[in-house]
Amino acid sequence: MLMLDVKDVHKHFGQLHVLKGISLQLERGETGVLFGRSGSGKSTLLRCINYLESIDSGEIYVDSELVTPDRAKLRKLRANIGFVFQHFNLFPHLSILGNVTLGLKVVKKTPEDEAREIALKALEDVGLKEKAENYPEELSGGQQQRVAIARSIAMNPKMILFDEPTSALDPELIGEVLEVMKDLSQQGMTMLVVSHEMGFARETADKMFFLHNGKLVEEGPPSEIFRKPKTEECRRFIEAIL
Amino acid sequence: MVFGKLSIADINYLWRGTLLTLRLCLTGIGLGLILGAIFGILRANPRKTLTKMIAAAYIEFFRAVPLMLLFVVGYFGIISLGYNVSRFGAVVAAISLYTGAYIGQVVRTGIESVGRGQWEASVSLGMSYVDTLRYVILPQAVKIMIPPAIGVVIGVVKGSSLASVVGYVELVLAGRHVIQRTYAPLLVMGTIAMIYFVICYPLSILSKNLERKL
Ligand SMILES: Nc1ncnc2c1ncn2[C@@H]1O[C@H](COP(=O)(O)OP(=O)(O)OP(=O)(O)O)[C@@H](O)[C@H]1O
Ligand SMILES: [Mg+2]
Repeated sequence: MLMLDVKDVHKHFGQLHVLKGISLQLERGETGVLFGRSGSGKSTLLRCINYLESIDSGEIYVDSELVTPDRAKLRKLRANIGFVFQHFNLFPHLSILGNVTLGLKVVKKTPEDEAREIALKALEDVGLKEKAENYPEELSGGQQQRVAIARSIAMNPKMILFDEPTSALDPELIGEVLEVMKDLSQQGMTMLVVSHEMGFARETADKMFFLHNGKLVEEGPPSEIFRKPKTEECRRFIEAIL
Repeated sequence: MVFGKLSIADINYLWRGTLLTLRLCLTGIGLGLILGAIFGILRANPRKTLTKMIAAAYIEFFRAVPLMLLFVVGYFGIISLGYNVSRFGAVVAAISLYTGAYIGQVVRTGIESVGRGQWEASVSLGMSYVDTLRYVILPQAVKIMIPPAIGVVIGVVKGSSLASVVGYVELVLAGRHVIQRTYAPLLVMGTIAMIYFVICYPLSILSKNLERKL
């Protein structure tokens, strides 16, 4: 069963052709790692999947639902797709619990105590149950990103998109976030992760996608990508970051 | 007695002026805050809607027009067209529209100063535009809005003295009447300055406190 089906997607920013006919698929429960040089279009692709950016042509299906600009459909779709940002984007005026329950209460109309229970469970999954009453500014970057992941998990999404979830973190905090993501992947969550953490990719990814100048020039399981990349660009890129 | 040349009747007259100033300000600024909240939110809409354009036109127009002109047009202007308006109604309307435009700008700026990431995180959860404003953006934006909004309010309280041009006997006009009777301009204007200070200073204290607390 395909969870994500991206078909020949094109995207421009003005004159700039950012995505040049991207197609990629993820099966339910798979973890994909998307990598490539800065400016190659990784974030843009991810943002198109939940329509934070519009696309010019092509189609995107999430669990067989077409991603469309129709606002009511889009809200339903987004509630089913988690998005974890590079800079966490927690809500600073809400407690950790408030951050994790907001979507449940506002979007899913979950009653207060039920939302609280779900949120505490999600926070437990990321190892931060005891921080429920704290505020985002009282947490380290790694903890904040784990809260952001809990905020996604709590919505019980079909898939979670991660845009460089660890690249804003101090090196010693990266491990705890990757650990949580690995757990999620093992529990069968479908994930598409933009990341240059090659250790994580090797251990966790089912598929890797190498994006170059707006084109998907290489894809395959980590074993192939690391051992014998087909293209010169991919080989050089991997050498440079390993 | 303390006020020298001022009789009890003079003091009562000034007191009435004070009450009329307060009445004008409370009603006019109150309505203006509501107008400002509505038009500010409409104008902050990132999509080019008709309501956004109307809000923009309203805000830009009334910020560009002197308050005194609004008083004159609102009262004499309307009367000259043959309509009957109450003096109080006219000056309240003028102050409301004027305050609304400035507060509208404050509200819009406040909303726009909340980072894009907050919008993206909210809509990615499936939240609607209105819910995002209500639960995520406005609670953060209000903190940013309070100091400039109080600045606007203080400016309007002082500007309300211009309502005297249409014969609304607010504090300053009441003072001029008392001066004509008593020939004590310094004493009377000094008293009036004190009264404005007593009204406005707590507002600026409030602004500072809220700024620190939020
Ligand atoms: N909102 C935008 N408006 C105009 N151009 C944009 C916008 N967003 C991205 N771009 C441009 O599109 C190209 C792809 O950007 P994108 O952010 O997708 O790259 P990326 O692969 O995520 O890079 P990075 O590793 O630096 O995050 C870049 O040239 C970027 O400058
Ligand atoms: Mg990026």
